[in-house]
Amino acid sequence: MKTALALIFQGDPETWGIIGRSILFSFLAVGFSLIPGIPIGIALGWQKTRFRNALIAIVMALSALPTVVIGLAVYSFISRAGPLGFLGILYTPAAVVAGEFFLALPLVISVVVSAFREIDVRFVETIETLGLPVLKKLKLAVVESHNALVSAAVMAFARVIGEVGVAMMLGGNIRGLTRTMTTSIAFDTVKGDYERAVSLGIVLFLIAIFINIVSTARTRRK
Amino acid sequence: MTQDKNAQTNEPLFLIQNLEYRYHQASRPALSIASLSLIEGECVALVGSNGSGKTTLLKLLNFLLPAQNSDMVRRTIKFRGLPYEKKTARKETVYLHQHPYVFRGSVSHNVKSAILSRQSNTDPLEILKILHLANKIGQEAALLSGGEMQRVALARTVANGKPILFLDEPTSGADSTSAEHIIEALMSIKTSKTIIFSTHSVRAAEKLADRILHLDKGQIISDRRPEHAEKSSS
Repeated sequence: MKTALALIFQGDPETWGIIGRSILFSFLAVGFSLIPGIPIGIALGWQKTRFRNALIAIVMALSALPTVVIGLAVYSFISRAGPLGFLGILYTPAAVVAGEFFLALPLVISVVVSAFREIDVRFVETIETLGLPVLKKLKLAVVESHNALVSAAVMAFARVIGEVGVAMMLGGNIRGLTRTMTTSIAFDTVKGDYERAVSLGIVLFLIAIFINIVSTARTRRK
Repeated sequence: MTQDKNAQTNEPLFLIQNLEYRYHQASRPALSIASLSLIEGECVALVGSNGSGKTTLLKLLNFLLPAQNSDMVRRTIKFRGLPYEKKTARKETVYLHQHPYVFRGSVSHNVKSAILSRQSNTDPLEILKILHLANKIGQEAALLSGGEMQRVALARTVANGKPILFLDEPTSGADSTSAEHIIEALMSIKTSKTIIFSTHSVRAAEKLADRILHLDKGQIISDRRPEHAEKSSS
C-alpha cells in the first residue's frame, strides 16, 4: 500500500502518464459524443415521430450493452479486414477514443431524452410559437437544460473512464500509447505488479468520489 | 403593407367556420364556433368564465393544439381567403401563455432571443421601455416578480415582430401597477398589430378592445363593441 501511494504522490511518470492518458481519452470521447448526442437526444425527447419509442428503446438498450460488445463492433469495422481498416487506427489512441465515443453516445442520448421529456411544455410551446430557426431553438434548449446536459456528460465520463473492454480490444494496452488505468490494472495484476494496480485503483476510486460529489452538488442546486 | 393587401381583397384576416375541438375523453366540445370572422388590425377581447374556451381558441389559432391522443378537431379556418396552415401561423402569429415561461438568462436575453433576424428593426430597449422594464434589462428574468415576468414575456412576444398576437390573459398574475403597464403597452402597440387576447378583466377589455367576444361553454354568446368604440362611432 505504501509503495502504491508513493507511486501517486511521488509523481511516478509512468503512473501519471497512464492517469493522464485515461482522463484525456475519456474527455475526448465524451466531448465528441456530446456533439451528436445532444441534438439527437433533444429531437427524440421532443418530436413525437412514429418510431420514437422504438428508437428510444434501442438507445436505452445500447447504453446498457457490455463494453466488450461495443469494442467488438468497433473492432470489426476498424480491423484490417473491416470496412474502415484502411484508416489503420487499430491499437492507436484514436481507436480507443472512437470506441469510448460509441460507449458514451447512447448514454448521453438517453439522459438528454429523459430530461427533454420532462421539460416544461410551455418552454416547448414558446419556442415553437416564436417560430425560431432550428439552431436558435437548439441553443435555447441547451441553455435551458444545461443541468441535464452536464449530468449526461458526467455519467458518460464515469462509464467511459471505468471501462476496460473497449480500451483493451481497440487499444491493445500498449505501454506509453494506449495503456489506460483500467487496462493497466488488469495487466499489472496478471503480471504481479500489485503496487501499480493498487495505485491506479485508488485514483479511479478518487475519480468516482469526485464524480459523485459533482453530481450530488448539481442535483442539490436544481 | 399587410393591411393594404387585406383592404384590397376585402377578405377577413381569419374566417372561422364550423370550428370544433373536443379534448380527449371530454363529454362536450371545449370549443364549438359556427362562424366567426376577425378583421386585420382589430383588437379583440375574449371574455368568459374559466373553461369557456378562450385558451382553446387562441391555441387552436396558433396550432398549439395538435389533433392527437384522440382529441377531436374539426377546423375550417381561412386566413386572408386561403386555407390556414401551421406554416402561416408560425410566420404571422405568436402566442403568449397565461403563465408565461421566461427563458434562463437576463431580461435582455429573453427579448433578444425572440428577434427573428438580424435585419429586424425591432429595438428591444424601446419595447422594454414601453413595458417599464428598461431598468431591469440585465437582471435574471426568472428572479423577477410575477408581474415583471409577465411583462418580460410580453416584451419577448412583441419583439418577435409578428403582426398577429394571441395573448392569453396577459394581465393575469400581475399586480395593479404591472397590469396598468401591460394595458398601456398594448394600447401603444395595438395600432400596428392585430391583437386577440383573453381576459377576466372587464376593465382591460373595455379599455383596450375594439370588439368583445363573450364565450360560454365553448360557444360565442355575444359579439359586441366596447363602450368607448360605441361612443366614438356615434
